[in-house]
Amino acid sequence: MIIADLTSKELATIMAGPGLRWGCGPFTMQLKTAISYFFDYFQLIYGRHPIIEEPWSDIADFHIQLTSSTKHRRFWRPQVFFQLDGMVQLAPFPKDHAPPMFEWGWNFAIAGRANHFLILHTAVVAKGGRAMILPGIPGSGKSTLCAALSLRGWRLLSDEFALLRPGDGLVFPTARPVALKNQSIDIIREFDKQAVLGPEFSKTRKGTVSHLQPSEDSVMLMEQPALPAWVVSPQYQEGQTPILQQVPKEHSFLRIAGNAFNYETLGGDGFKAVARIVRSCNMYDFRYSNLEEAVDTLERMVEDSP
Amino acid sequence: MDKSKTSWVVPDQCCLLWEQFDNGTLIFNPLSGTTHLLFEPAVTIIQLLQQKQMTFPELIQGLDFGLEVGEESLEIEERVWQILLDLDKLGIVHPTAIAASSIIESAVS
Repeated sequence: MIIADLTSKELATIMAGPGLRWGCGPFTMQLKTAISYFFDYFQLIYGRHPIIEEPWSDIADFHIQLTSSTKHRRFWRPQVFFQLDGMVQLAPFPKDHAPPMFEWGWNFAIAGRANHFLILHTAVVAKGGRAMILPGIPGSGKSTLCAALSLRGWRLLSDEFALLRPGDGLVFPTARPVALKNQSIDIIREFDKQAVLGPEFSKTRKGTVSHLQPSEDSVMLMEQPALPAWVVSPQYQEGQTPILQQVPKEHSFLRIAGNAFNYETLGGDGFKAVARIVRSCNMYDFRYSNLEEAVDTLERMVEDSP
Repeated sequence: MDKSKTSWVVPDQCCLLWEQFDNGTLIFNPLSGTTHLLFEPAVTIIQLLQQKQMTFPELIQGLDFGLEVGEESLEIEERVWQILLDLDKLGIVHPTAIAASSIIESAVS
């Protein structure tokens, strides 16, 4: 059974009661909330994810609860709170921003807890079992490029994290939505008229945000890890024709280590995991402006790879 | 610190991890949890000191610059000395206990 199989009423009853459990790549999630307008977003974006039905035989990795203001604050500028294992973890958002609060809170939970992986702050897509890691500073266009690739048949592993298992270097998917910001929202709408985006949330810390639904393939294959083959650091530059430039491996090493949330935490295992990526991947800087050209350039690069 | 008498060593418990690439070597120091990109002379210094502890003159000889006494050799020796001090700051090499005690003595007197 998948989340889309539930009616809104059933979803509301489960979420307000024992909570909903669902599988998301290597994680089992549990979410409780009674915030009614969150359900439409959740069903649209996570509709294809499998429900874990009761009786639950396994533990959940993350127990999340979205709660709203109580007492008088319910009437004036109501807020939503993100709780992880019963503790409020982040500053509240306006109540109508429950979906971005949920996504950012979940990111926060993964970044702080999933230390059995080397966690890189990057987008990841895959084709034929080989992954392309797309690290980039905010504003570099990594989410937009990741969205475009996923809309052209690449499997979306994540817009936010590469979860690398230190033992074998495999990267694990979560198939969560791509968080598009500001101009990227219209760029992606224009890039693919079939793209399914959630509502727009304005005046967030990152401006206006809208979430792109992960493709069916991405969700169907979210149990399958991929092997990193390329590390491409995108940088959007107005008027720039696409240019791929190889980066020396020793410099890539430091970039990737610096990009990880938990490199120091993993110690020697983190060093070995980064070394494995650097040795096994071709490393590029990628400057581009036009999204169609960018996707074509990366497709050609992949076709030319052995 | 007396350059000619001070012996330098890579601590036994410092099990460095190495990754060598075309234009540089990366090492991970588990004692500090830090990673460093090193150029070749620094790598050679660490490797020599991993084999055995050495005084500075022994190290210069081991590095085999093939230098005669002169201005050039003094400059290079100074650079090597600086690398040693930098590696010491990073906790990758350190002067031996005897040398350390002499530093304290000279500071006290």
